[in-house]
Amino acid sequence: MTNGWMDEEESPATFEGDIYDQPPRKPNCGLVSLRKVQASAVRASTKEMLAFALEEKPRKFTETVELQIGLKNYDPQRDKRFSGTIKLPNVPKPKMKLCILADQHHMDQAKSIGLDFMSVDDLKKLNKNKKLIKKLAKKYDAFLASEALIKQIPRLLGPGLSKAGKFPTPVSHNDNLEEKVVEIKSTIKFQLKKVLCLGVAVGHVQMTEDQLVNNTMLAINFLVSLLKKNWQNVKSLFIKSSMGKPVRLY
Amino acid sequence: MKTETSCPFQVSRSHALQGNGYVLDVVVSPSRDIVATPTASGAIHIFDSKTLNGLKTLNVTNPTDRYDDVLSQATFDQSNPSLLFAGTTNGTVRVWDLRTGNSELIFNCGKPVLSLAVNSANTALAAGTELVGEDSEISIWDVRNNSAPAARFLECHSDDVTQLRFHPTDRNAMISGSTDGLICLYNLETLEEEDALYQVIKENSIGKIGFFGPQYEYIYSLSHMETFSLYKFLEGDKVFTFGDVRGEAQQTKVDYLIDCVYDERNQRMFLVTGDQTGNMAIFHVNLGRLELVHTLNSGHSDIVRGAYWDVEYGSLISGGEDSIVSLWRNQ
Repeated sequence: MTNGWMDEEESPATFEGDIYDQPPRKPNCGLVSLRKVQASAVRASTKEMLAFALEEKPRKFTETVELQIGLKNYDPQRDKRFSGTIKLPNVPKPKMKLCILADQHHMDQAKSIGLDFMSVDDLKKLNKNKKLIKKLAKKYDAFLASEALIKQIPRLLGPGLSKAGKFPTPVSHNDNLEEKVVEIKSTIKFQLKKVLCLGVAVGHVQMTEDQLVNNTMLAINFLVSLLKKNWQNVKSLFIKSSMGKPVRLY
Repeated sequence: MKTETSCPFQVSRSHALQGNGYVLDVVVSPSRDIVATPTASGAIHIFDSKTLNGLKTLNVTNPTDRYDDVLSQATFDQSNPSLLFAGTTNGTVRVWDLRTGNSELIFNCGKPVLSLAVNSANTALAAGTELVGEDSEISIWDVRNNSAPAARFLECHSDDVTQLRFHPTDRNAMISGSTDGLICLYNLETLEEEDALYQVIKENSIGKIGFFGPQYEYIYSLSHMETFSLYKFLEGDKVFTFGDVRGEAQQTKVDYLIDCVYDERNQRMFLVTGDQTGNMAIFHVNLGRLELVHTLNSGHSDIVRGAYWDVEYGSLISGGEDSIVSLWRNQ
């Protein structure tokens, strides 16, 4: 433990296994909270990205805005690999298609807000047919389910929705269904896998600069807080629109 | 509050592991007299749990293949404390004999193994894998028959299976957790995937799960978002969710959750947490409230990955990314 440690800044963040040859690192906590990205930097990069996507080279579709975090000093072979969700302040995916697997109460509510729904009887009609359940899973981006009904889902549908990564989010009668829909549309998924990069869709180019800055800041702070050494694991931060070039902000 | 929990913990012995022994976990045998500390270098160090005397070191991965063969988890045989199951990312679970240091039996799972568990009757082994292509898998084996798995579950999860646990007394009750954010509950009286899976809990990306309670009728869940939740095991009902614990604790710094410890004698549940400098804290888990009962400082200098607390004996063994295994006493 007494031998020297690699300078965190200079040690190459490769994942070919050479990290095992490094001596154990001493903690370096003083730096953790100091090196944060400023909102002004995020704003400047957002402006640059929007200028390109909206004026210089507008496209015929609404481009998605993605935040990309490059990692360092992180070994996905032994450090935690995870996925997760963050709820952003402004809806990044307004076009998401949702469906509620609903009891009577929620069916009435779904009708009034124009949300697609399916009843227990509709689900029973699928007869646990794997192809039909797969088709259902493909038709929607996400599902909700009445709390009373969610427990019957493994029995009614088998593991089909789980396999598709779309097991429903429970909704109780006390929840406001419309708010719950907005919440799901505001929630984005991210994954840290074997590659040393994390990408998340934080919005689209039709959002205002303020909305994008707020979403980006929240996503950065939350994701960095989940990395085991926080900012010491961050090599770079970029934002980019679907067709635009990446703009570096850290 | 009993005096035993108010007496502060002191480090009574520490081992600095050789050869970059970044400790992944601290695993205790059913009889609680030995612990195993699997490390990222592929070595598993075996210690006497009362004295921290080193008993044995097993090297379970292929030293020439440090990229494709990485140790993930280990668990003791439920009836023979000399046998240890270890899963690695080369796709196998091997059974190691601590007396000879050799592996006797190999279960070939075909995909990198991330999690494993052996049931209470010591008849079934379950291994959970990484997501490869479209599939992540839970394979269930008869422990006496390594020629082929008794069942393969391919549909219950859509991402890496990070956790598997059998109920401590019910041989057919199993739970699994994944980075897809689901906890699945199974009754293995039938080995048909569709029928065995009877309940699903929507959670966050799962870090650790386990059973607790007088009859082990509850489940705890620690997520990669550092959230902490309790559920009823049979029904899958939520009992309480503490949310992101990092924001909850005021008296001490919590950067991550390590594990839970259930004190059977006093029927109390504890949550063990850590910070980036290697300091730990233990919270008594009340319904709706976490009460700080211990801080364990200066035993580690980096993230702590595993802790086993023998409440009755007044000892705690912790292992961390600083390659240190520490024995703490508070009696």
